[in-house]
Amino acid sequence: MSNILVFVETRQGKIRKSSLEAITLAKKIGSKAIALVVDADADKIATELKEYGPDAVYTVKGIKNYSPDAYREALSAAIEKSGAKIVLASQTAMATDFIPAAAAKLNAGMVTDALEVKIDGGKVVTRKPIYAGKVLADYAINSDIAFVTIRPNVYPAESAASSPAVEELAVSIPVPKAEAKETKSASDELDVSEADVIISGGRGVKGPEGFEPLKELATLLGGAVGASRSAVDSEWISHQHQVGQTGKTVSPVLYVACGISGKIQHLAGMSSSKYIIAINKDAEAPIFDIADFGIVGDLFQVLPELTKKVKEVKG
Amino acid sequence: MNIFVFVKHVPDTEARIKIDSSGKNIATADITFMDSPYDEFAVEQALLLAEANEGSVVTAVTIGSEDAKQLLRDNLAKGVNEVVHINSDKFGQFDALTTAKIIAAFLKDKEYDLVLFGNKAYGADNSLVPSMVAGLLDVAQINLVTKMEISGKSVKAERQVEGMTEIMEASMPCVISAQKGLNEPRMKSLKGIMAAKKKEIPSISVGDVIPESELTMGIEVLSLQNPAAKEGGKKFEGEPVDAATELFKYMREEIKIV
Ligand SMILES: Cc1cc2nc3c(=O)[nH]c(=O)nc-3n(C[C@H](O)[C@H](O)[C@H](O)COP(=O)(O)OP(=O)(O)OC[C@H]3O[C@@H](n4cnc5c(N)ncnc54)[C@H](O)[C@@H]3O)c2cc1C
Ligand SMILES: Nc1ncnc2c1ncn2[C@@H]1O[C@H](COP(=O)(O)O)[C@@H](O)[C@H]1O
Repeated sequence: MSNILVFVETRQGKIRKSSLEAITLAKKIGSKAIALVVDADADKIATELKEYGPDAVYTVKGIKNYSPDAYREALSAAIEKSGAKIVLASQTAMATDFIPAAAAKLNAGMVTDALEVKIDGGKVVTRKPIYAGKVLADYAINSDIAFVTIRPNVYPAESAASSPAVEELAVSIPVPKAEAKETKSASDELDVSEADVIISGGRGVKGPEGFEPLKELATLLGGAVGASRSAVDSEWISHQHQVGQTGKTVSPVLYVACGISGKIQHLAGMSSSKYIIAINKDAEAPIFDIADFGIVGDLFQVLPELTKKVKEVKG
Repeated sequence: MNIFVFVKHVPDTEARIKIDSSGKNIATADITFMDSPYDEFAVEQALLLAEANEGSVVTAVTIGSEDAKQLLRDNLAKGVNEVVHINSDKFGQFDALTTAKIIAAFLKDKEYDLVLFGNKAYGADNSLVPSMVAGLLDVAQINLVTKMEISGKSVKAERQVEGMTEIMEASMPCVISAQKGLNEPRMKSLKGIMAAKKKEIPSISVGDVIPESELTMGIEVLSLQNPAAKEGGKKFEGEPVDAATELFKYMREEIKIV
């Protein structure tokens, strides 16, 4: 067994929930879980992390804006210091931006979007969907150091109090070749890739206003709104919400597909959801083949009734 | 500007994928291959940039089997200036790390301002090669780009990250990986198709680019399998009010979410 270095992602001073999932996984499969926090406010973040049980926290405070070059340096320094043979992170835009570059520099293999990670015969073995989920691949990582990003929501974060040593790393931060100058929040909405509940709409919602009842239910359940490509291409909702082969891959506890037929490219993004509910007028729609519970009916009649009932208990 | 764009020949995204008898590869016999969807955005961007910057040269490169030459011919028909085929014996021979090493070695002695990729190749579904190439060449990178502009030697680009848009600035040479939304890929023109037919597709071997001894794989396939088909579950047909009642019960008792 080996030390595992976990990259803990923060955005605007907040820890990404799926990074906590990575810590939980690291604690399960490694001998020591060491968290790396790159943030001006890293001490505050380190305190928050204690609840999730890392054995140590490394901090890097001198990087002002996200930069793949600078983050790569921070990661390399942390790898060297920790002697970690496994580097774990959640599958996010940031992790897949800078971590592969660090892996390649170390001549190391990397698996992204893993659904399962274990150590088998001293090797890191991962399971990952390929061909947009039509195939599951089991890979062994052969290099001295193994890099893995795991899909959000697959390993639930578990709290486990610890009192880790917090240590600031000395990193010589390079002049960035690429750097984030500005971030524009699309909104304060929860991203579909991190939501436990997704209420998703397709061509059947018929227009931008058709997403309103979906939003209402999603908000009540603390979830996010998803969409099929048809809905996105019709400009009823932004691409950020698209689920599927050319959108996001999601694994929520509950995925409710409203007015979505269930084409293979859509299924690619959501078939690993724990529970799938489908509401569709067409009893023959292929979405019913994978739904745990299918309602044959009009979404505009069923959803408001359902929302009413949820409101009664969440009221 | 010197622009390189890397494209991969992949199975049709509509095709059923079967596993071959070794259990470690997919059966490619009955499958037609096509350009990986995101690579088309990269190619389009290369062409748009070349049109806007006179004297630019766009070179499309693929590492693939003999069949992958078709992909380069299609790209010639769209308007790329040069193509290079790096011959590999069979589909899926290289993992992301070795692919990135071949690409980095290929680019090493070239002059380039921009190196464009798709953000993810269909099939491998990795999103690794562009960043790995940037790391190996030690050049700037911006991934998942949905909008970009060039001024002088710098690139300004937008990328969609969870819940927000990130605006990045980078200096050239720069690796860019394209996301849907960047542009609308063009079709091949008839004239282009005719012209491309006559062109020779230069082919080199992997060994011409990098000593094969440097190509140790980072990962090894243990096995591939098709996921168990999910069974459809309960189905309810009836009055909306009753449907909602059933659904609510299911969400409360089975999923325990309300
Ligand atoms: C390379 C490629 C990549 C793709 N990537 C994606 C992707 O990432 N994501 C994606 O989703 N698609 C993707 N697609 C598109 C995909 O093939 C389908 O076209 C798309 O998913 C269909 O969207 P839909 O189900 O909303 O629309 P449709 O297939 O038109 O289905 C609409 C459904 O709504 C039902 N309906 C209508 N009115 C109501 C009502 N009042 N109440 C209840 N039900 C109703 C209908 O019965 C129908 O089943 C991709 C395609 C290609 C070729
Ligand atoms: N064999 C290949 N030949 C040329 N380009 C490739 C090859 N494999 C991957 N790429 C490029 O790298 C991108 C990302 O691939 P991947 O990291 O495998 O998801 C692709 O969209 C291509 O632009």
